[in-house]
Amino acid sequence: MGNYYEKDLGATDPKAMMLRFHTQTGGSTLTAQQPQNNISRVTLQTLAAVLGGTQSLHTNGFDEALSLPTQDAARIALRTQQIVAFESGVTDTVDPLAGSYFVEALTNEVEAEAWKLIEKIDIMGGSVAAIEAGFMQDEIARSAYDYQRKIETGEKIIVGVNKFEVDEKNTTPVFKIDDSIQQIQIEKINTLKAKRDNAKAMACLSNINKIALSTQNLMPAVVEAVENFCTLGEIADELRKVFGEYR
Amino acid sequence: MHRKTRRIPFTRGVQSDMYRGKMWTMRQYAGFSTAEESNKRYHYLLSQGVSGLSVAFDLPTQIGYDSNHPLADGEVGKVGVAIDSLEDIETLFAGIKLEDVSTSMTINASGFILLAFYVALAKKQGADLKKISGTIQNDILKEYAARGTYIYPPKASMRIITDIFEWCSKEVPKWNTISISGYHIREAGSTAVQEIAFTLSNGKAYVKAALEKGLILMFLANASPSSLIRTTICLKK
Repeated sequence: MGNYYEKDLGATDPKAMMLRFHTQTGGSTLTAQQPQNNISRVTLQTLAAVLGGTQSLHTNGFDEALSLPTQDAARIALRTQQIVAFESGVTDTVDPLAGSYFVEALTNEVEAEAWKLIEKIDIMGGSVAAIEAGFMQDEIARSAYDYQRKIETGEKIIVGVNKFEVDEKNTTPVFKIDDSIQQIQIEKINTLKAKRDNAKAMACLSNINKIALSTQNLMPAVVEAVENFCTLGEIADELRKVFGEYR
Repeated sequence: MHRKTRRIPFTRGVQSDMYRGKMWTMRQYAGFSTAEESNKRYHYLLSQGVSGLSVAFDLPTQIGYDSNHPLADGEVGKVGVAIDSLEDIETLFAGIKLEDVSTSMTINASGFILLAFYVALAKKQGADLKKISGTIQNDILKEYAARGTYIYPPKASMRIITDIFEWCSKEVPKWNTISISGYHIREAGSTAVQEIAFTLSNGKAYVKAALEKGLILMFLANASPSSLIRTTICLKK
């Protein structure tokens, strides 16, 4: 990693060569079937994140295949981190997996294959060109199809989904967001627009438009606009006029 | 193989003593419904021992539509909190001093607006902007590649992102201006190799865009690209 930013991009400060990273446990690995099994999945993934040396971690609620997490599910997710941090002992050693033949060999293998792919993208002209050509999208779609096929054929086992299923009714509480909150938000916008200095707000928006057409930095104009109570949608729309929309 | 900690290329970790010295940040991603409701959840999480906040926004906020837009119908407050104005951000962080917390905001296409809301609130709270810390995801390339919440065409998006790099380096120097994400690439079904390659390649595109803008020293010294990498449960590819 350090080598990458040093060799390719001319970084000279070691701090710029560090990969600081945040980790989130995988939402798509959670299952709606037997949802409490997800606590075990999140625990394993928490351990993997910590063994990998993460600087920051989010753990998913066990009910997230069904809804956003309830307060109780969010607490269990946090407790999972606290148990790994304070009870497991894994934090007492720096890089506990160091020297494991399998992990080191796998790391080298993944690194080598990733390099090949990065070089391929470089040849295409970098990420922006590769995305515009649909390359990344196609690669991901192919892998996703392959993964799904393995689940459907049973080549890959998902506990509770294609093996060890039980016939049960869901008893996990589902967190519901009421549709009425849209009305609450709309009323807040109406009140805001009625009480703000509209002439000032409009002047801020046309200033954003003008700066977007120039090479000046947009941020001071955006800060000024929000301070004068322009809304998120108004600012985004002003730039839609200048930049257009993608697809 | 000599790959020690705190030495380039930092394979063993970015701190010499890792968690013996400092625990990771327990940062729970949360947000739903209105700013009032989400604020309650943040206070609850803080009371239970989280060490950093992480804001989830609803889809209209992520793609730059107010809650009264026809395209927002049925989506307001559903997958995250609805934020339309500075007043909503004030409510979201009521009772929380921005100088004392680090806040991560998972926001990309409209990240520049949310950053402006956050900074405007910090100013209103009388905070020293030099002390404000947090992160906006701001990784638009993976939105085109995997996740879909983009607004503008790629080149315009890259201009907004480099404007953020430049402005933050002067005004909010402790802010992490981008978090380059493998997570959504993996969640969309990629392999581990594709996740790493695409994420690093995207990182390179941002660094190059910053270099082209003449931001070389600021960028490489202040903001090493941090990366959001999904935890892989199994040690197989």
